[in-house]
Formats: sequence, C-alpha cells, structure tokens
Amino acid sequence: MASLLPLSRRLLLRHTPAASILSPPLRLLPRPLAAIRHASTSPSQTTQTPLPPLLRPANPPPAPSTTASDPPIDLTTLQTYHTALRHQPPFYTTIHIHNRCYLVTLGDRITLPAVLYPPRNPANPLNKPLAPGDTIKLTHASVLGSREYTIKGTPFIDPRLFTCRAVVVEVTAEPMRKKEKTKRRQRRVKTVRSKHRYTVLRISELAVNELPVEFTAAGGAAGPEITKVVKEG
Amino acid sequence: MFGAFRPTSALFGGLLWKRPWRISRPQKYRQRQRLQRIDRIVDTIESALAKRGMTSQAVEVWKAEMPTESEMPPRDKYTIFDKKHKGYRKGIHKLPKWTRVSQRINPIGF
Amino acid sequence: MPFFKVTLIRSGIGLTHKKLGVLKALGLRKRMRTVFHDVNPAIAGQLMKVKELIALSTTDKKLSRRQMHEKRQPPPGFVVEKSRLVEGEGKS
Repeated sequence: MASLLPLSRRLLLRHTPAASILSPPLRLLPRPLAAIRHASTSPSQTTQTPLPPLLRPANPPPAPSTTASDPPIDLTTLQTYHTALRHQPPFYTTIHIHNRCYLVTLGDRITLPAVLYPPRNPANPLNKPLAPGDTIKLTHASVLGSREYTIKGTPFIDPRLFTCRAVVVEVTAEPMRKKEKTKRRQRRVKTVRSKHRYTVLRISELAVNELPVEFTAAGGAAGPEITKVVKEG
Repeated sequence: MFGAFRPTSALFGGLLWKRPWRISRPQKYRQRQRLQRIDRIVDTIESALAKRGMTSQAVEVWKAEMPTESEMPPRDKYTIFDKKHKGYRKGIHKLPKWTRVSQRINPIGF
Repeated sequence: MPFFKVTLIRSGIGLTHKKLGVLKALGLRKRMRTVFHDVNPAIAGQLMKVKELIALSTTDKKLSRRQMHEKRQPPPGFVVEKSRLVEGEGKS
C-alpha cells in the first residue's frame, strides 16, 4: 500500500488520470507491459525472482488481441491465485471509462475531463448527466491486483470478479479561458472562450469478489477465458 | 542568377517531363491491390445475386470479357497501348485518373 | 434478407457525370459514407459502374447511421446505481 499511496496523493494534487503521470517512455509501452510497471512501483520489487514454471511469465505478455485466442487458463490455477489475491488487500485496479484508463485504489479521487452521461436507460428518459451524490458501479477493468498478484483481462476482466463503486463528488468547471486571436494588419480581435467541464469521482468501494461458481473447477462447464493471473516478481 | 529568366531545367532543355516514364515498385504493388479489390467486389456482387437466384448482365459481361488480376500478364497490369508511343506501350500511370478507372485489356498483338 | 453494405472510399471528383449520377443515386454523397441496399440486379448494375470507388460487403441487417455510430463507441464502463434523478422519478 505504501507504494500506491504516493501515487494516489499525486492523483489528488494534479487531478490527472493515472496514465498521464507516467513518464513518456513508459506511456509508449504496450499496455500489458505498462500495467506491470504500474504494479511494481515500489523499489523493493526491482529484483526479479525466478518464476515457478506453472506461472506465465510476466514479461513480455502477448498483446490483448492475441490473448483472445489463448486457450482458457487452468481453472485450478485461477482459483489458487484468485484466493491469494483476495486475501492480500489493498487492491488496485485499472478502470476504463469511455476508453480512458485510470489506475485507482480505494479512496482515490479521479477527475474526468467531461460531464458524464449515464448509459441509455428507460428510467432516465431525459438522459440527464450525473450529479453529485450519484453512485456508479464501474464494470470495465483491465487490471486488478494487489502487491504481489495481478489479474489481467483480455481486454477486460469479468465484472463478476470484482466490485468497484464510485461516488460523484463534484461536477465542476475550469475558470473561463480567453484567448485573443489577431490577424496581421487588421484591428479586429477575436476572443475565443473555452470553459471545460469536469466530473470528480471518488472510489468508494474496491473489493475482489468470491470466485463465482462458473469459474471454479467444479462448476466450470463453460470455461471462462476472460482472465489471466500473473505473479509479479 | 535569380529572377524571371533564371536558368531552370525547363528553360534549358525546352521540355520537362515531370511524370517518370515507368511506375515504381510500390506503385505496382498498389495497382495489384486495386485490381484484386475490384475482383473481390465483382465476386461479392455475383455471389450475393446467386444466393437469391439472380444474375446481372453487367456482372456477366465483365466476367466474360475481363481477366482477373491473376490472369493478367504484367504487361497489361502496368502498361497500356498507345499508338503514338515507341513500342506502342506507355506506363499505365499516364492514363488520366488511373487509380480510379478500370483498364485491363489492350488490342491483341500490341 | 441480405443487403449490400457499400462504402465510398474513393471520391468521385473529376469522373464522368454518369458515374457521379450513379453515386448520387446510391446515396453516396461523400467519402466514407456507408449505405445499405437491397440485393437485386438493378443495384448490382449500379455497383458495377462505380466498383473502383467503393468497398462492398453483404450483411443480413440494415443499420441506421446512429446504430453504426453507436457500434463504434467504446463501452461507457459504468452503470448508475443510485441517482437522485432516477430515484425521484421512481417515487413520484
């Protein structure tokens, strides 16, 4: 947790998505590799211990497009490591909201660069945007992990495996920006105004669920091929 | 040296041809891709009609007259007949709008 | 019932008026516009006229422009669990 706290504090201060905090070379990495770097932020983890042969090597993992054709992972393995992950709070996860990813942990504030409109729902015919106090459940996560274990989705983790809720803290806007545009040899000045609007969320719940029956070796008739468990070095 | 009458290659030689006389290898590659794409489109139309038990005259005439990309000799893919040219052939890139028109057959014997 | 899914990928600028007329008849006003048409010899003849300019496939379902747009969108990634607005409507 100590490793993740500075990250979240910086999140609070800079109000930027977690992805943009990374230095540019890291951001250029393919996503799975970048996810690993996210996870191993503590300096003690820099030394790589040899992986047991049962585990898939953490690097280089295949790109999301190729993992889709991977055979379903061994359910017993999934169960073992899922249990290990569950008993090792706190967790972190990479959630995806409108295709933007945010690495978050419990209590994080994230600022989204837009006013959030809920998915179309007959109960909300006017389609009003989210307001402060609303609770949302985040359904699309690509990475779910703790200090030592990580579940990676291909590209997303099954939403039954975790619970992540967020509260809308604030719907706000930046100060009005004015930019004066001029052309040469002309007195006319055009003022361009812009005022971007933001939604601030707070992660109010982040938990790893018990493994659903379909994922256990006993009940897993239809082998789910959604996840991949790796142990960080 | 500078000014309206400065020596340029056009003024020196009289004529300056800006289009090269032959097409490059990537241009040939893209030309093949275009030919293949048109073949695929014709096949799609034909099979879609055949599923509903229909035919189209335009498709049948095309199939009867035009060779597919694999059946065409390289001469026809990259050059066209021109009566004014030495050897009666010029590069297909001299054809106006050559990437957007179909030009597959040439006079027999040329 | 199958449909032709036609997308204009090359512009018709500078081509003959006959071809431009065919594009107009097919409803292909500008590049990357996608239209759906029935499978019949009349449409097939029109497609053959402009086959150099289009991308073509057959589908079973006709999609509106909005549906095509929504298909391209990424998932929102969340569902609303509790909203003042929705609750208020539910009570009243």
